[in-house]
Amino acid sequence: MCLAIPSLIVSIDDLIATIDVYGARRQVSLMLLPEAPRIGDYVLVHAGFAIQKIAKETVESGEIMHEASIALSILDIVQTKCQEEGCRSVDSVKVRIGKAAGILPDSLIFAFDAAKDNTVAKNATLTIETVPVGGTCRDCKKEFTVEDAQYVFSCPHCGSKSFEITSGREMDIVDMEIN
Amino acid sequence: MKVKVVTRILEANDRIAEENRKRFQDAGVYVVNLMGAPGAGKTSLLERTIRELKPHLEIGVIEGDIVGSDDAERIGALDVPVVQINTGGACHLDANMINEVLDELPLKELDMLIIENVGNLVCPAEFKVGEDMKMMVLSIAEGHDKPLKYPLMFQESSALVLNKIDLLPYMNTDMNKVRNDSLALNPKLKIFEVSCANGAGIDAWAQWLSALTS
Repeated sequence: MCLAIPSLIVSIDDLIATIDVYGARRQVSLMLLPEAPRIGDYVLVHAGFAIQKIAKETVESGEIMHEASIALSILDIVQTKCQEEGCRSVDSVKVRIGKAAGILPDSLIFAFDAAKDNTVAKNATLTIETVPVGGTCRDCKKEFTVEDAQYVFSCPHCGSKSFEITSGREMDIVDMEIN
Repeated sequence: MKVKVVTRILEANDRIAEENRKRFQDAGVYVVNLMGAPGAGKTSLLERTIRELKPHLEIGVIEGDIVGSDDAERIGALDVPVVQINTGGACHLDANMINEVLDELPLKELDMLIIENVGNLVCPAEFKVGEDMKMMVLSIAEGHDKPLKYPLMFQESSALVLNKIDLLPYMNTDMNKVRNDSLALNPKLKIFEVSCANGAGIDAWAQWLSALTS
């Protein structure tokens, strides 16, 4: 699920912390954290609960907001799958991300590495297989694949911007190595 | 040992979106996911639409913002049920955020629920929340290059409301380019031109929208 950007803890009263999010103050529960955080720490918050401590350097680098939510969704699925398989640790996770999915691979790896501590995937490497954008042009009716296309592109045959996208929007977990 | 997973990363979101959708269907409420950039006029369009449709329809609103409750206060002043969600930094609403506030709305009494997403022209289009229809507002002051620069939201939307047409005399916006590029990306897109400042075009838009509930 999507999670907020990291929030700064400004005060702590037992299991309730006051956090600062872009200048707004909110109270969150610390019940779900494995160890008590300190004032000045950053946590990721979801639905009123701090669920993960996050390194200051990661926060200060900025620009991981969207990818952070995707990384946490990946970790959720990995942990569930791990419980089903009864594994102790995860060595690697392979995901398939389409080039038109709006995800920056480097940011996703960064966010995954920042969020994986305290999970069964703490030693896991995330590998990303990118999928080129493909489509069927509505004007020249040809199918195409554009290897270097990012978020915005056109039909390589006729230059049209009108097409059905048939690949390049993928966001899937493919497999993982477990012990 | 290698294990196959083969799961969509947003699978959890889609599952909750489906739960939301069932609840909306059971309650008989039509749900609109209203998207667009900050300043496009999403809240202004909502105000105009509610004023126009309030005599005929029971409308409820979920306001999604990073922080603050200014928008919910504006909508609350029109005497319709409204719930504010603060995402605390997240760039879009997701299905779980919607799920958590549904008990605060009288769903069974509503004909239509409009969910105003976080102002952002990119990722709200990626996340289903359980809606019947996605739509977007684009202010003509944002420029005619926006459809081709942010294609996904135009592709995902059923309706595009072009707002601030009262500013056309002062802008160099090429309206034909906006229309043609939008329709190239999404031939089924229904396009409306309105001004929330002076009310132009609101009646045609509101009529089309209200017909979706029947």
